[in-house]
Amino acid sequence: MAAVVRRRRERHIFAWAILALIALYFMLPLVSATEFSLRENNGTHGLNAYRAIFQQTDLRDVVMLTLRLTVISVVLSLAIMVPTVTMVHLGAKKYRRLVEFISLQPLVIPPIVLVLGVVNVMPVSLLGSADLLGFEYVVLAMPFTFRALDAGLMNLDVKTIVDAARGLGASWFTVLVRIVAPNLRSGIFGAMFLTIALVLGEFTMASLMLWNTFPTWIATVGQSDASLSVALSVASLAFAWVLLVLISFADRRRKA
Amino acid sequence: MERTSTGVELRNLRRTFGPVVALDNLNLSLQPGELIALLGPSGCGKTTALRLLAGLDQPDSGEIIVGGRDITAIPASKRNMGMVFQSYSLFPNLTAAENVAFGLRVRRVAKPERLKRAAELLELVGLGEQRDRYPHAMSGGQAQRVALARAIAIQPDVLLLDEPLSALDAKVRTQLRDEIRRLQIEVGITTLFVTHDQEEAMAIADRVGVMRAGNLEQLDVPAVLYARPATPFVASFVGTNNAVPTTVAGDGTVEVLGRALAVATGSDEIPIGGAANALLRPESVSLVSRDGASDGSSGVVSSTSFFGSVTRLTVKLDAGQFLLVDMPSVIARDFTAGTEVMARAMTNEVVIQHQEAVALIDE
Repeated sequence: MAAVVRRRRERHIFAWAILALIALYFMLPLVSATEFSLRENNGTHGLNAYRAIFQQTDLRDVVMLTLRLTVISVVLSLAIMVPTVTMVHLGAKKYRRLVEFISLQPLVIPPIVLVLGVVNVMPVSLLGSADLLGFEYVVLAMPFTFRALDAGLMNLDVKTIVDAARGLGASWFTVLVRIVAPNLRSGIFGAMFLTIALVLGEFTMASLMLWNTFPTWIATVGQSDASLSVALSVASLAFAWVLLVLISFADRRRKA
Repeated sequence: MERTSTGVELRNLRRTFGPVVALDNLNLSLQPGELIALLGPSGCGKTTALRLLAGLDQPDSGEIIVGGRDITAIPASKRNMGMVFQSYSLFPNLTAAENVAFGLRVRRVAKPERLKRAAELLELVGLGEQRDRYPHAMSGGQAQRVALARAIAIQPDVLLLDEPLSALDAKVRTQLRDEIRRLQIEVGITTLFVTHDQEEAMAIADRVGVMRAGNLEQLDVPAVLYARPATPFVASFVGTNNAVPTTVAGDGTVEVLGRALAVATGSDEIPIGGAANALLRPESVSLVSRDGASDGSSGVVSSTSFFGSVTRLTVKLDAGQFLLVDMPSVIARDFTAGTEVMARAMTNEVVIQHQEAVALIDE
């Protein structure tokens, strides 16, 4: 009996040790970045770098553009992917692998190829608009939105509830909005969060297309003020975390 | 709940899935207010027929007539069918009352009216107190009752039940089966009930249709279906049978357990002198102690299974074949394992089939 208790305690300690190592691996760069952003010129620590964020003249424009791109990306991603993944689960399961394969392409195709491809096929009238970047982010987010929605639908007998709703007289729009979407909330929230995180962190495409989004702006600022740049990074990360917590909270409240 | 019942006609319905013929020119007619059960093994096409009637699938050819109107090309959402599924199909994000009211909401019935009707229907299925519960907090039986109330709420032309009891435990199953029948008669709704459980089909339906490989083999009232099966398949599928080897005699009779019996079905297929199996129900065999008895086939009771009021005995005949015999338990007490008996057929006619057909049916 004592041996069993000892083995259980050892396993417990081992599990915690692994967890601590992983936490250290992730936290060390973040703690270092935060510490660096708080350093003052006189060797003390303070919030000057964070105060400086709000003194940047182009901050408002950059944030507004990034938010606009975020909204476009999230709305378009969900509008395209929710019906697509639902249809795959409903009757076109044989196409699941194909859709998954297509959705994974942004991970293997270099951003420069995507940018050039889009630039070559888009109408000239759209090329001057930053919104075009939103369309590209929809493509970039596909691997994440597909997986989040696919996992959500795996936990749902979607065929039966859709058949039931259709049998009761619901149109396809009603089925998607009133039945599928509310039951796919976790998946939709997951897809939303991942898309937002992607837009808040995407640098290459925005830089290649010469748009000043939040990540490109941080890089530009970093060339003249390292503390401010790191403070911005830490602040955007904190924003993403708060968002994740809020989403988890909303989802948990629904389940309760 | 006053309503006018609607008749249904399925005409030459054919549906294939690649090389598989799920329905092969199915013809079926439901009288207004009638409950027909479609019974058959897995893959016989019964659920396909139901889904075609619901509009959840489209036939390759044929017509679906409801209330005299051809609805073959009408989508599911415009057909006014109430359906209860095998798996629990309640919408997880809605309460019991909201689930029942969903079809009414889609039909733009005013909120107070639809909530009132949902409450009435939940009372009708005995779940008035559960109206604010979500599906995850309900038992399987409760979920199927709510699904039934939801299907009836829209006052459908036809109620479609796709094995609604198969996921429930035995006791709840019997209760809900009786409740479905009570409601169906009370509401007077034309109903198509699909099941693979023959006892369920026999207990609930006005008529039972036995399906096999996309075809309707026989459609009849339960008692006739059981007593006079139209085909060897129906005889084998409905109820339990003993397949007793025999030969067709010159006068068209067959000798079974020492008695010459008329052939009810199957004589067309087997010529005089041909080997056949006579299908004999376990309750159509009587046993007497071998002492003093001369007619019948001799054998020994090898085992007994107690089913309450009835006991099933397995008798090994001297010819080597095993025979199942059902008899009242009070009488079966005299026939313990090892008792030497004479088995006799207690019927005047039997269904016969080719001897190799048994294996085919078992598949």
